[in-house]
Amino acid sequence: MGPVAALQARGLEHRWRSGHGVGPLDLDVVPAEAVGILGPNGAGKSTLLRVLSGVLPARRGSLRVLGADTVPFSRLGCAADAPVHFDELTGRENALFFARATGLGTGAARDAVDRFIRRLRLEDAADRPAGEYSLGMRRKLALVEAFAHGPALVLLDEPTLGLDAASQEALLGVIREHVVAKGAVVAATNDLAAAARFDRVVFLHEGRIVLAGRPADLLGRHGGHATIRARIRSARPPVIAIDGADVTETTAHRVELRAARAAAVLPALCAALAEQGVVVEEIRVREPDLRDVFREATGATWEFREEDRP
Amino acid sequence: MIFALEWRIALRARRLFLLNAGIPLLLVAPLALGGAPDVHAAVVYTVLFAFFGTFGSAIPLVRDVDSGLFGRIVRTGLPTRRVLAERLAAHTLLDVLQLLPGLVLILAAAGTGAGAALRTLLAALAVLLAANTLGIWVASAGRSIAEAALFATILSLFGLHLGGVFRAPAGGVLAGIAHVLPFGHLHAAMREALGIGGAEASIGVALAGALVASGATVALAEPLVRRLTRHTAR
Repeated sequence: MGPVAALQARGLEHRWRSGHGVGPLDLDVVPAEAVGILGPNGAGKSTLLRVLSGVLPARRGSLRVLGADTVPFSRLGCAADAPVHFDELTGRENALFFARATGLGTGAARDAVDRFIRRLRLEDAADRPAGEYSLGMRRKLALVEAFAHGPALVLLDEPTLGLDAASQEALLGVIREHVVAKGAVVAATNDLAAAARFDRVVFLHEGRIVLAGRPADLLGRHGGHATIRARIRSARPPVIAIDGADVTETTAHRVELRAARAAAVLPALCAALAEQGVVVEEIRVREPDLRDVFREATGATWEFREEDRP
Repeated sequence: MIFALEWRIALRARRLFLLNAGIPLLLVAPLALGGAPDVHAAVVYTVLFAFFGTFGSAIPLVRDVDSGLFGRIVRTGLPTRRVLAERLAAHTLLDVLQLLPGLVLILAAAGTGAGAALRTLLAALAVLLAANTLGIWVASAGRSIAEAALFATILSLFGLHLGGVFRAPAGGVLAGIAHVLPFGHLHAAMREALGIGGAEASIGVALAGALVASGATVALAEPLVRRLTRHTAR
């Protein structure tokens, strides 16, 4: 008999009265696996995590968590997207309470909490009241609380949101260590760089799974186009025709192309612009990422933040 | 674990703690020191203790449910009965501590003897336990702090009425109900403490009634907690 699945959902569904929500969907997560749940805002990621963690009931279908029909809370670690703590207690006291409440002895809880406070870079604030914490600190504390009791399955909602770069890297390290130690992690996220480092990603669209697989495989199969965007100054829109590239936008201020290989197209683009006397202010190249995979799979847009635009 | 947590939180929130101790003191001081008729003062003190317990239990519980903290505690895997029982015990004893200055003032101003003072303290403990228990039911019925405050007022007054605080002693079933509810016993103990006669408080019955009510509530922790957390998705 193989290891007990960390999660097994069949026909799982939770819809709000508005019709929004999640499901029906099937989802399997095995031990020693990190799975990213991806999708634009409103895709149903947080609702799915809340159903998986027992916060919301499944209206239809079945859910087994760590082999049990009812969620075994003490073996589950959760960090919500908007974490709440006892504001009067320090971060360390909060984490100790939750570690002990989930079954750790005092000594073990103290050791585990200290370790994760160090790993997630919360030492400087650990002995301050949680009520004084910034959003990033609150999120770090929630992550300490999610991992400290050594749960078999950890559910994280937007875990990297609000964390600085070093803390994001530290968190990804903690996730990897947890997986190496045969734990499972399911994280709903919009952080594509983080998701690309998970073992598997699952795309949600309008509450349903539209695509799933290893990030590298999905990128190879679906999202193989780089986007090249040039900011220009020109009297009129330049005429651009380059083999191997699709011109998606041409104005007097901007040119956008998509191509399988950006490096092969860039010289021709520069030459064409120079020939027409166009002043090039900036050229940015964005290699394909999981958003392109989502777009190719669903035909739907996944809104880019302005700073992410190429 | 929850008992220690509640005490630690209450003692850390010093301003709130002092307000909770100071306001009842300010409310009873004019009556205790101003020569208010004892017969009215005994009713007011009883109402104050009942309201203090019900509100002090219901409002923080609704707040913790709304914020998601209560759900987080329940989802640690701690037995729900233990969560509810420890919370009930902690809030009841915190209420006793916060009402103690007011009670001491009442008893000192009336020159109450040690025996009557002890009986009053125990009757107050019974009322606070019953009122805190009532507060859990209030919280489970209300969806917001405003609703909880409304229900707490209605149910406290109803409990006081059933307990015989506002009405002449009745016979039959109502008398039986009044006897097992602790409110009438605190009223009687307060009257005794203030030196006026009337029905004698039965402290044992008051404590037993409060313990049975709280025990039954804790026994129903599972459905109560489900009901408490039904409106929050956190």
